[in-house]
Amino acid sequence: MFRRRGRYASIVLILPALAVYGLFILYPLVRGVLLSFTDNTGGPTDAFVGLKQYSALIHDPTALQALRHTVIYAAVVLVVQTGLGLSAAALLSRRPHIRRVVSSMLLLPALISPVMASFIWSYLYRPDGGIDTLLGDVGLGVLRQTWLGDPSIALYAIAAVNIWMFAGYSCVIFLAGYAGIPAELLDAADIDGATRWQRFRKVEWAMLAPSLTVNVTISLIGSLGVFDFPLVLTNGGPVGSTNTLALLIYRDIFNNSDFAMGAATAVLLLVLVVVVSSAASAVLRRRERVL
Amino acid sequence: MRFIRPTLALTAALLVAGGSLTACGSGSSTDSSGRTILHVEGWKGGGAEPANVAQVNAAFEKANSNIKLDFSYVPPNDVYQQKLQSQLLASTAADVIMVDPQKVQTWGKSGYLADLSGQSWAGGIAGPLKPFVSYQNKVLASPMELSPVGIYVNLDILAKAGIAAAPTDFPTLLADLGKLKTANQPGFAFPDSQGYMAEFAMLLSAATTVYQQTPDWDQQFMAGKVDFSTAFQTPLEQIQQLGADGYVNFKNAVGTDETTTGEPDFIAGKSAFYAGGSWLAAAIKKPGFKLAFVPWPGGETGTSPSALMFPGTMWAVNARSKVSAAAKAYVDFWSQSQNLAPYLSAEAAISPFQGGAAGTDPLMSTMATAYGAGKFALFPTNTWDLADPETKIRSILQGFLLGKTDVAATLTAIQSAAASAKS
Repeated sequence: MFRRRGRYASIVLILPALAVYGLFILYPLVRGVLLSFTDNTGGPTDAFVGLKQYSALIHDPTALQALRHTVIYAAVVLVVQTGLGLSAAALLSRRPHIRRVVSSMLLLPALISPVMASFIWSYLYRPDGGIDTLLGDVGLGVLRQTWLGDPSIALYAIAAVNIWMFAGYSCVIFLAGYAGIPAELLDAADIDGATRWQRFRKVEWAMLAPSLTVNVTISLIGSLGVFDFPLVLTNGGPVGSTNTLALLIYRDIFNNSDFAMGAATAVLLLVLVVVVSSAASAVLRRRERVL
Repeated sequence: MRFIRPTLALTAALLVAGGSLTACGSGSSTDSSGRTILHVEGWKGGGAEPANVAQVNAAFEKANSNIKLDFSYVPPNDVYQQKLQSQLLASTAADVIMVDPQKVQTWGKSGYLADLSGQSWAGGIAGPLKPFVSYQNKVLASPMELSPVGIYVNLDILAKAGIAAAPTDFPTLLADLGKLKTANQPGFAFPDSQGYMAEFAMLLSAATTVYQQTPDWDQQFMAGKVDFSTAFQTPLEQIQQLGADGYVNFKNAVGTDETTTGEPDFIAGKSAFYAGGSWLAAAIKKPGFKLAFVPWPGGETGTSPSALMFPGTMWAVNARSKVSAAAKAYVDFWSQSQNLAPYLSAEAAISPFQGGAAGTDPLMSTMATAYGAGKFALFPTNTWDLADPETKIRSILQGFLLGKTDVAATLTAIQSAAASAKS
């Protein structure tokens, strides 16, 4: 009797959350998927066209190019951002007196809006901008580049802005992981004569598994849906070299009024994000259990 | 009692939400004194572009004491598109909305815009402009301006190289750039990070090298009678020449942003030539250097160039407006030359109506003269150079600037991109 009442109470308690989730997440999602099966151009009427948008999408070289850029961008951001965040956290974990100040400073860029960060970096990247000037001043003029004007490096230049913004964020997550490592474990490693590298590889790396899972998942979701940086810094150029799927969705819907194609591209991006981040998360969770 | 308080709170919340939604709509039609409330939304009239809209609106309210105007400024471009598109779908857009040639096509196709063909001003729209305000032969918008697009020239910098006036033909442009380089003065700013400077340059040159001979080239292209391969060769060769002669570093150009770098640099006196529209005039005039605004000097020695005009801002009436008579009265008011004058003056633009005057700004005199003499072309935003084709053409032109394709291959690619506008 009490158990049944408890079950009803839990259903009643969960209903508001379910209603909000259904209204603001599931309903738009379903409507978006349905929209991708039409020829909607933003008007109140449209016609069902089946998989025509998807067929056009997979035969569109611009979309395939954007898919490739999105994956490359996510991979670069994931590896470099996580690597830098981990390195910074490893260094700071052994320097408690400066940890708070430095980690706060590293976190600062993440507090700027991506649009503002893009504007700042567009000045730094311009041909006579801060980066080239700095390189010249320190005798590395040979490394000067047309950062956003060269199709072979523009995507990486944009990824660098993303990494600059969020490496501190990764660092803070890893620092939280470091805080959870029992001191006795590290002491035991020291007593056993482990070198610094051995201590990191055998103890810290294993104990940081949950932090790694969080970092990788957040980084993947954020970078696969990247939009603001390429929009402001290059608008997808030069020669389409920084087009991403999110940018295509935006252009289809708001520049071309091709809502149906935008919805189809959004479904493709959704599938990509869900599959990649779920797979990564599953692999890393399994690793956590093994460790 | 325990249940009454949440219920009341929920009811209040629903009432507030409902009230907010009602306030957003174009539904409420009269105020407490019985005046018709007319909701208007536009991307001019606030922010960086006040454009004397408030002055014209005040004159309208004075002349129409039975109408209360509720004007809302919405930031331009993407923000406007996002807000209005959603409002139109939800039937909450204003009674009168600002549009441009592309929106006339897309929103006209969706049935959002009222047919204004029967309005008195519709017959007075300048002939070449009619396709830009029409969808399926119905006039859906009242044009507010023709904005010249051309080259801003810093005459003070030219003077330092011994040049007395802005060039009017291409050989003189090249010679002037040579003199500037010799005098160690800045030359032609060609920022193209967003991709529209090369597009501007191509069309600016085409105004003289293509449209002067064939004014209806766009219509012929849409009908499949002409193609880009030969017609647009000269515009691309002229752009290429700027790079080949060392006056523009195209690699740097593609890495430089038009708005955040190119325009401020010109205003700061870091370049002598900068291509842009008349809408930039107010900002560019601020530093006070001696300035000219001229068509792209695209012709051969001794010829005079044609101007390029952008058929920009327009008013349209929401097809679902409950106060369409007041909405049409508002659009009618704006279409009268004496009412439109303050706006044209602020915008440094030319009247889009037959026999309409140009703004009084002396900076625009060269453009106004070209327009008066019929030496002008219209930006092809209602035929092959809009939306997706435009995005592709900008990307193709960036490849051209970077030397990835030659003139012939670039024109073939542009032909392919532009052809998609026919479908």
